[in-house]
Amino acid sequence: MTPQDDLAARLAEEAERSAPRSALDVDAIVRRSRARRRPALIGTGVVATVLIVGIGGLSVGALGSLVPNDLTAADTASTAEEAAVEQGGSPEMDGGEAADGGSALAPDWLQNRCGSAPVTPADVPDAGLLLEIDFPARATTADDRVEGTVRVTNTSGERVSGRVSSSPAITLASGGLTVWHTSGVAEQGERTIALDPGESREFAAVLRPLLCTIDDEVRASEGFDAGLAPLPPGEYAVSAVLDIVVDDAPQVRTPLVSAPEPLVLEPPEG
Amino acid sequence: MQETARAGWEGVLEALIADRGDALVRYAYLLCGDPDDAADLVQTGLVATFGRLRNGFALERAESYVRRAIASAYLDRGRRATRWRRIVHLQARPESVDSAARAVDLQLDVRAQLETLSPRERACVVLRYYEDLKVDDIADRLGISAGAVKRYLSDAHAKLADALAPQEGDVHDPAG
Repeated sequence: MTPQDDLAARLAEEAERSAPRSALDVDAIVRRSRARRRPALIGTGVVATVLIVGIGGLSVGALGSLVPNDLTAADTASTAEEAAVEQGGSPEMDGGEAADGGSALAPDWLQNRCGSAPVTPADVPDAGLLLEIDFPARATTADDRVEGTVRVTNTSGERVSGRVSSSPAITLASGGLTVWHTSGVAEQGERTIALDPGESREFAAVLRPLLCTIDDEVRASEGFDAGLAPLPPGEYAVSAVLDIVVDDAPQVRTPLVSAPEPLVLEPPEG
Repeated sequence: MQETARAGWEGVLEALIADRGDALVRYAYLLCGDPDDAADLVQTGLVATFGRLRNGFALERAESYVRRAIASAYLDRGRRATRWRRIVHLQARPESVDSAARAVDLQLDVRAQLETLSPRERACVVLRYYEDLKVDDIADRLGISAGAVKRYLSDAHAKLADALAPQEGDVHDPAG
């Protein structure tokens, strides 16, 4: 037995011996999950109204995620929409196209909130669309903004058409945690997009080498860059998130996430 | 998968808890090292996942999301606790850690060994050796780079050297 095998066996033994059994309260978890779905549903209705999907900042749909669960955890449904959720469905979540491979992750997961681990391509279903970023590999901590591009490529064998926000969200991460992301509810409208197989489309994108914390998220909807300190020199990871609503499933937001690319922030010269 | 009276996502959630709940708690326990916290982590992961998951997801896929959410919740808590841990570390550093007798005890006590690791090191070790994930898969699960995973595993190996290879020096990890 190798040392690694031995460690694996001892971990399994420890877990088997010490972890509690039947420690989960199904009813309580269902109740909490229902409560958590409510603000998302309300947000969905608003999103349907303004037709903005995507992460140009903190989308309206994600505002619900900022509401503490305790404030939304009433056990009785008070609106028709809530009642729909209580019954296990919602316009977005029960639309019939929710087989494996559909969009499943929450807007707040995709927001890459400050201090959280950024979402990765592995976190989202394969939508047949590849999101890639192109930013400079180096910048300085004194840079006010670093400009790049985000490219969507149709890797499927069929034409894809739908709507995306006009500016994707960019995330900077360090040590696996988000240190900055695009913020501000941009009244920038949406863009239609139509891609034949193999076709790409590029979007301009901007990142700012600033440091945010979870406390800054309360200002994210209006944009929090103005109050943030510059990041220290070091190695960071840049990634992008862009939601798309395809015409074939207009009630489903499909998140597109790029793989992280390295960015070295250097001290300003002189 | 067990029969359930609930429909849609609630049915998947109920079945997941019935079929895989204890396994999820064991996984969370190895991450956090506390039985009560383990159950709480799993509940947090389940709520975070099923508070958003649409209907129609298979149990296996839902479980993978939950495991990811559990790891994320654990690391978030570890990050918040870091400052306090630093203070505790300064106030109550174990004096006998370096003694030979204590080292022997630690070799026999994987729980104590895990306590020497940082949250990220611990998560990487659990995912590598308990979940049997490769480096790239660990990176995906934790949302960090493969290079960072290798660094955390390397640091963890150094701390676990006595337990991993009591008769040897360096440890070769074939995970790649």
